[in-house]
Amino acid sequence: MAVTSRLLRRAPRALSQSASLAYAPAMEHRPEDSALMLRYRDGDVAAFETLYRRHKDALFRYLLRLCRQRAAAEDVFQEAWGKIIKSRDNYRPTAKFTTFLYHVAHNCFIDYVRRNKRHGNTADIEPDTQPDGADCPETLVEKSLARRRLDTAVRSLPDEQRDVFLLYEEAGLSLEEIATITACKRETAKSRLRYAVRKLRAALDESPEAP
Amino acid sequence: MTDTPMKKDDPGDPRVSAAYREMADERTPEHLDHVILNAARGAARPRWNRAIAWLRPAAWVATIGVCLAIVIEISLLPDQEQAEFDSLPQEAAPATEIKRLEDMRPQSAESQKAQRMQKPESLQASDLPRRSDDADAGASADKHESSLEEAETRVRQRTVSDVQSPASLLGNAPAADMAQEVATERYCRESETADPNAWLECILELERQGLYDAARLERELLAKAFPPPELP
Repeated sequence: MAVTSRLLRRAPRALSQSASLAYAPAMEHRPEDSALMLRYRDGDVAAFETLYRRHKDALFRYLLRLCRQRAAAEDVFQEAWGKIIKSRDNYRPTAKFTTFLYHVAHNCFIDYVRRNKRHGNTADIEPDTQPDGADCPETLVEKSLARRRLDTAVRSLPDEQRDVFLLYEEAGLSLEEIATITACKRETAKSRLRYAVRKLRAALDESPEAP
Repeated sequence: MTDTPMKKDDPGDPRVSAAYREMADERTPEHLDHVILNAARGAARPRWNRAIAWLRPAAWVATIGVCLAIVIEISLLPDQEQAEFDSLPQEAAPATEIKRLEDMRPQSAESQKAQRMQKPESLQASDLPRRSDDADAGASADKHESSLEEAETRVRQRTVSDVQSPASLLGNAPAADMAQEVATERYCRESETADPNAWLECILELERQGLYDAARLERELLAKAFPPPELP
């Protein structure tokens, strides 16, 4: 009887704790990108800051590997966000904001390529090979070599395949959305992605001793 | 990086994706963050804020304009009052004339008394035989006083009639006649006007009493009656 009453007394607290743990992730407020953009259209700068911090790094990496020059990537990055800011009054949430954002960035990159015909052969991106303090030296060297190989493989991809692969990995877009952005058919996008992944897998499978 | 679940026909490779995500850890430079966020803040100002930015100088201009208008109005106000004051000579002239006449009457009586008191002393030697002149002078003084009273009565009557009939304010002729009539009143006795020196004495006496208008009038009459000799 005493045990039962003790359990009953503890029950509400345990229930509330478990409930809070169970519902905490679900109650986390994470507004949609489109809603944030609409709020920014109405003058809410904080909404834009949230939106920007959510997408800035992925977009920067996409442009960095697409342009293969840091300065060019920064220029295109700034231009793309500037267009997003300017187009806030005309923004309509007819598609995912990510599609809209990467479409704008892709068009800015195309404009950049047209403006600078000499783009493509010079690459000044150096992969971050700084070791983590937690790993042992052998693991660090292995990781560093693997990263270097993958980076080289990504840079050596054809422009269309690299574009599709980066949109797939960085933006998390579907094949339909990638096809929309790159102005090609879905099957074409799928084929490009398949070729890109195959080459990168081959680069990863290469033994470190191989030249 | 992507939260999209792999589809069946997705050609993606989880191992390649994991390796890529491990490799791709570049971050946006901070200066780009500042530039873009500042641009976003600048562009996100509400429209009414921009309207206020335009309204503010307009409000300043309007305020300055109103202030200038008030200053100009105030600076012009005395002139308008003066113009209104000048446009009413018919009303002002009789009142001033009445006051002048009232001021002049006791003074003239006093001056006559003073003259009477002075004349025996000043004229003891030379003018004793002219006693009849003194009598004439007394009579002329009475006559002068009575003429003054008549003029005053006429002025009062005209003032009352002017007040009663505003239409008379429009005409200048009665007031001008009255002013001329009052202005042609004589302040020196006939016996004094016969002699230029006595007349001049009378004029000086008027000036000493402060009756400059009368003195000026008498001086003009003296100049007409005894014009100065032409120089060769």
